[in-house]
Amino acid sequence: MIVNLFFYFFSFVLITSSLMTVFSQNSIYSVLFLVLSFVSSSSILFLLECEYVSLIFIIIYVGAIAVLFLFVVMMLDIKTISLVKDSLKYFPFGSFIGIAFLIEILLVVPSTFEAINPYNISFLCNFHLDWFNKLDYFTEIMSVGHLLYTDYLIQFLLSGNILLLATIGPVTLVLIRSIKTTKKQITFKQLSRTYNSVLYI
Amino acid sequence: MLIFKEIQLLPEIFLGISIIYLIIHGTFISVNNKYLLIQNSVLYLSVLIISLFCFLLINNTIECNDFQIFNNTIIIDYLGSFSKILIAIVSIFCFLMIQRYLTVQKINYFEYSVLILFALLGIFFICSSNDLITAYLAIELQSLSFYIMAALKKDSAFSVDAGLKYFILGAFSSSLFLFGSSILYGVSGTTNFEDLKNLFFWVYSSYDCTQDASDYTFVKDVFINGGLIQFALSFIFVSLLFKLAIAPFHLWSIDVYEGSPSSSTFFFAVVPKLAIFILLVRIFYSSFFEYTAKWRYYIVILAVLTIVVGSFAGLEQKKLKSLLAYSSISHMGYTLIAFSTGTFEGLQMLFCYLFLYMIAGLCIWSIFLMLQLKYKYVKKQNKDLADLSSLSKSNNILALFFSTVLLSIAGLPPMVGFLVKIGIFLVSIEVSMYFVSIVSILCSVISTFYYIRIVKIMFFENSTAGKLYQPIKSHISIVIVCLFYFLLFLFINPTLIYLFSYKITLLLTMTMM
Amino acid sequence: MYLLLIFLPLIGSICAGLFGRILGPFGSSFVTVICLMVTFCLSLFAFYEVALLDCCVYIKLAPWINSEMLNVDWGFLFDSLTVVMCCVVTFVSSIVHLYSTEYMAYDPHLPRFMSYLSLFTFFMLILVTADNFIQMFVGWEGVGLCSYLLINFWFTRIQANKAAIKAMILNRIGDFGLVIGILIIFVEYKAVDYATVFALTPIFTNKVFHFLNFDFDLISLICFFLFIGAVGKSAQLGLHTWLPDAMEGPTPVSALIHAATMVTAGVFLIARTSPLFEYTSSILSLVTIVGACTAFFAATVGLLQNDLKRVIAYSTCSQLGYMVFACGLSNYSVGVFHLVNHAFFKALLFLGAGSIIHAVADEQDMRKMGGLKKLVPFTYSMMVIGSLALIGFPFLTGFYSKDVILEVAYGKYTLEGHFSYILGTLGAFLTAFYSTRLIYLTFLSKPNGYKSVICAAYDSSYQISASLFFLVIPSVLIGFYAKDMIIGFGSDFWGNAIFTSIENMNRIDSEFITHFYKILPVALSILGVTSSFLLYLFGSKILVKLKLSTIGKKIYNFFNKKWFFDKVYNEYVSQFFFTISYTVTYKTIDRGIIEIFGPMGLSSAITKKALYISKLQTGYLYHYTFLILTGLTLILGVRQFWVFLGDFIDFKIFVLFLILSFFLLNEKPSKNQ
Repeated sequence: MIVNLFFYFFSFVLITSSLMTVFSQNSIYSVLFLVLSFVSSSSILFLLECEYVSLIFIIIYVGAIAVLFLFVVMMLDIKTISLVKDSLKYFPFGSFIGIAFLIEILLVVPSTFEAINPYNISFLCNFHLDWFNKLDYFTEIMSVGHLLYTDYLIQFLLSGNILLLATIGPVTLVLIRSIKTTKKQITFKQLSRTYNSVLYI
Repeated sequence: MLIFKEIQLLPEIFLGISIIYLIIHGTFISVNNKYLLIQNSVLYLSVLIISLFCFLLINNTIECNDFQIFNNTIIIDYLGSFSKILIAIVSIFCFLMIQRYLTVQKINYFEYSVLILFALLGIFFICSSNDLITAYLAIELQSLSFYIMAALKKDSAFSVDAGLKYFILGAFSSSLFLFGSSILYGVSGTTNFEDLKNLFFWVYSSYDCTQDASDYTFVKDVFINGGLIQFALSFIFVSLLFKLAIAPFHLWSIDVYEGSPSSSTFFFAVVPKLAIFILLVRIFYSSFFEYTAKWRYYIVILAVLTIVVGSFAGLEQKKLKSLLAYSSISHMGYTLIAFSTGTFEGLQMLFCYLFLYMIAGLCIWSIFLMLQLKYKYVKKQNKDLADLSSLSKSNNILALFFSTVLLSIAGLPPMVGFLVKIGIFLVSIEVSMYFVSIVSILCSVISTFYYIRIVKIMFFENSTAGKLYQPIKSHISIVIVCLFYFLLFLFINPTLIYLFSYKITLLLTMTMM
Repeated sequence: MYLLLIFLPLIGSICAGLFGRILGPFGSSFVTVICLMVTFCLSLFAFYEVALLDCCVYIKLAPWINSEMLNVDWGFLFDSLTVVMCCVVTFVSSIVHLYSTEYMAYDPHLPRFMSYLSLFTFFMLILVTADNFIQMFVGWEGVGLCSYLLINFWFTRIQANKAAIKAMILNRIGDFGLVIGILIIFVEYKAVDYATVFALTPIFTNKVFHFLNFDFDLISLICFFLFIGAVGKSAQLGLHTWLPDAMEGPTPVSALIHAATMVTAGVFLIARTSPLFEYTSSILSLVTIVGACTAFFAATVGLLQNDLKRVIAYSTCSQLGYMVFACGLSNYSVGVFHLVNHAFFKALLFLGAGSIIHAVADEQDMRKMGGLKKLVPFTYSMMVIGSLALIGFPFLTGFYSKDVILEVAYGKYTLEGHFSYILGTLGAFLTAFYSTRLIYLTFLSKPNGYKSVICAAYDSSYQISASLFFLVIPSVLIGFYAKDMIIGFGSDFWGNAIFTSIENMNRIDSEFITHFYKILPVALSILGVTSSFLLYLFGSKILVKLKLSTIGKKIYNFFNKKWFFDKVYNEYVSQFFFTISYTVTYKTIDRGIIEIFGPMGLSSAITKKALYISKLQTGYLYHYTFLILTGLTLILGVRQFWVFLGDFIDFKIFVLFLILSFFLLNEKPSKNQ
């Protein structure tokens, strides 16, 4: 019961914060809402008893990526401009596409799942107790580890390769080898920015 | 004498390990020796690695059987091996061709070769992936290195722009792929192609036998109507079609092809398409063949749209690179028609067309990279069509080769391009897609116009000031001539290409049963 | 042997045509003449074997067209009709070859000429020996081509060019008819070989052929179109105008092609397809009437021509009319008999005319000749014999066939039979008249030519004289000797080659017609000779007066201008077609409709579209993303749509929609700009 209430609460927060991420005019606010959505989604994962994934989610997305985003947004010289006029122009067609998309999803998903769950009328639909798990305890991190090093070995190696590539690539892109590079931060310019010309918080 | 069948993956493992060695080697040497330029040596090392890879692959004799290894997530079969060998050979040629360009353009990073190797590793994994996760990871590996390759010419704003666009849109399409896969996993509980095939094939046929349908409402909803599955498949489709630059999702390709350095464009255009198509075939023919009738229609529509866009928009292009990009888009449309037929012959023609597309693309882009103007070339990397004027006077043979290859991909009768193109039209007529074939034939006529315009510019346009081109090194010219003669050989003896594609299709359909 | 018979002329032609420079004039003439001589000997042997011993020879050489529907073989059929034609063709041809070696001796292109002649012979043999309509048509077109080449042999002369083109075009009209006939045969019979078609014909009587909601009698339709082909080739009334003009070619050509062989191909065609013609009485009447009209018309025109060769050409035309109406009266054997006889004496006349022309320094106008009797006695005697044979002087060759023709015409006791009898008899009178006029003006009257020309006139040398001599023999004798064999009662000479239905057979009737009508043609012929001779000898003043009177002038003009056929054709028919083809087909359709909806309009529309599509390439990231999302939504939407409307929607609609959208979007760019 409580779990279900939490679930709906976090889902609501997740949806709202994602919407706000898109709609907010200020990039800083957008990033903060993004953080909120990450947190709420990890809470949902926690409710679904995926402790490991939810914690990893928080560590990586909130701890690393969101902070990085914040830094980047604050460093960049983005002028705030009113997007109201533009968004009004795009609103009708964009909303039409969005609603069409939503309807398509809503048409498909319920038709697939409504018949199978015997509890779907009840409020307890998300509560499910696996007695086997209670008896033969096996933490999620263990099972993930087992799977990664046995069944999904090659995928693990592949992701390792991707990570390696992801380190090499940016380094290659930003490494200054020749004198002539276009994108280069000018420290003086960075420091001499005034309050008015920057994003407001 | 194989003790464990995972040894079949040896070539890929070798490639991965070699890449790491190459990185270590390159980093140590270049950093220790005050940024020594080791671009060329690493490039040749890469050629060596790919050749050894090829050798290992050929050593793995698999004829009629297929192995599913690593918990059934990797499949080693004839289709995969043959495609890998083809891709490896093509990429060897690519390496040889781009070497000169890189020197001239001063892209002096040894990482360039490493990136290409990474991309190739990804492509090889796509070819033999038997699992949605593997496929996703492989696609990511390939795409990630492509993003970097597109942006690598740092002093060009176009290149950076191209890299950024490619990255963002590519990430977008990957997210679609993931979304589709997750829905698929949610419905069926597996990501393995083999499992999916067994599930859907048998469920479908067992459902037909049962009399009492009320017990099978779940089965009916999920599998027979297949609403959610089709939903998921649409997402996967869109993301893969994005990689192939099919019509409504093609817009990135023009900018990326035009902006990125020509050597990278060469790779984007020629190498990865076959692998993506193999993945498409594996998903949609092996696993979800039962749903063929349900996705065929919009694939056909997209194919026609692609052909129309590719043929029409190419008419207005003034730059050679974007023209070739549109040409590649329209070719993807033709292959998609063959893909959408859902028949044995359709598959065969699909592979035929792709093989030929790769070889012809190799020829065209090689010649494109050969054409280096003597003056002002470094600044102006993107060629106007007018730059080709009176090429026939300065380099007659090259102009002859170029025009022959162009006419071949345009599908003019005495060339091999004609044979495969007419094959595609024939298979589409065989499944009664008359309108589609008529529209695509008409568009093919239209697209012939811009190919012939290039030929006209090369041979008949008189410019007041003739363009001077850099001389071509002898060993490169030998490679070009070899490619050209191979194309001619295929015209004289197209059985080669037919036989291989026939064998591939036969084995594929055998395993599908 | 039979194949050698056909292909020897081709070999000769190739030798002379391709290696003429190596062989030289003498060599090439030698080769071709020898080839033709051998061919003649072979055809004599074939005649012996096939016609006299009654052994038909049928050779299937090779398949030519072998689709499931249409099977055409290279096959050769030698029956009596064929071997008779073979003998005539090869005989006249070898004589003409021999003749040409002297006649054209001073022409630098002699090898080419000989090559064409041999090629012509080859095609003529293909025509007569074919065992199906298609192969026959090959020969038909081949002789037409050779005729064109040979009329145009002196291609620097504008008149020759004109005549050649005229011959080609008028023949095309006939060929067109023939092609349609063959096509109808193919459509209905599904076969084109003679054996099948003729065997099936009795079953197909009263069968109806539907075309454009009209019903035609099948066999009548086929025969009508075949007859049009014959009309074109045999220069019957209506399509005859090319034949006199074709006299612009060298004289041996006129002798070979436009008198003896090619023009008789039409008669041969009718005789060959007699099993078809026999089942359609209406077309037979048409054939009779056209033939009779031609016979009469050409004779009247020949009366007042001044050109030596044209007179003979009109006489050819007239004689062809006789043959055709003989065929139309179902007496094919008589028609073919006249064909054979005519070939000999007409070739003789032409070759003699050539000899005269040589003698008087290439002058062809009879009014400028005269008095040549003493100068060229040999040619004179030959011409007289030829003319007498033509006139049908008793016991010469022409007599036997022409009189029989007129007898059967009378003996038919039908309207068209009497019509043709009257016209034919008048024609016989006129023939006698103009032949005598020709002889008189050329040989007997006082010399009218230039002194230098007359003084230099000489009789021709060995080859020409020999040729003339060889031709005289059959001209005199063949009628008498071959009469019983070819048209005699109860002769089984023709075997199955010619078919005459029982109700059409009237040879016996013709034997029992009134004696007066039997004797009338001969009497009129002799009267014609006498009156013409007397009139020109004593009454030339009266003739001049007659010519200068108002009515006489008009009549003279009318006949001299060939009944104004050419004038009408040129001013009304061809002008009309020229106008139509320029204003309608060229200006309106080719440069108008097709241009606008075709290349020009389409290309401009396409470039507009191309501009529009490449404008999608904005370069903005969010546009691209938006398009991807839209595409995705549409794909999903289409899928949802399918659930509701799947049964009603065909993907073809989408394709059509796509095409239509292209044309609709045409407006947008212009609005924005």
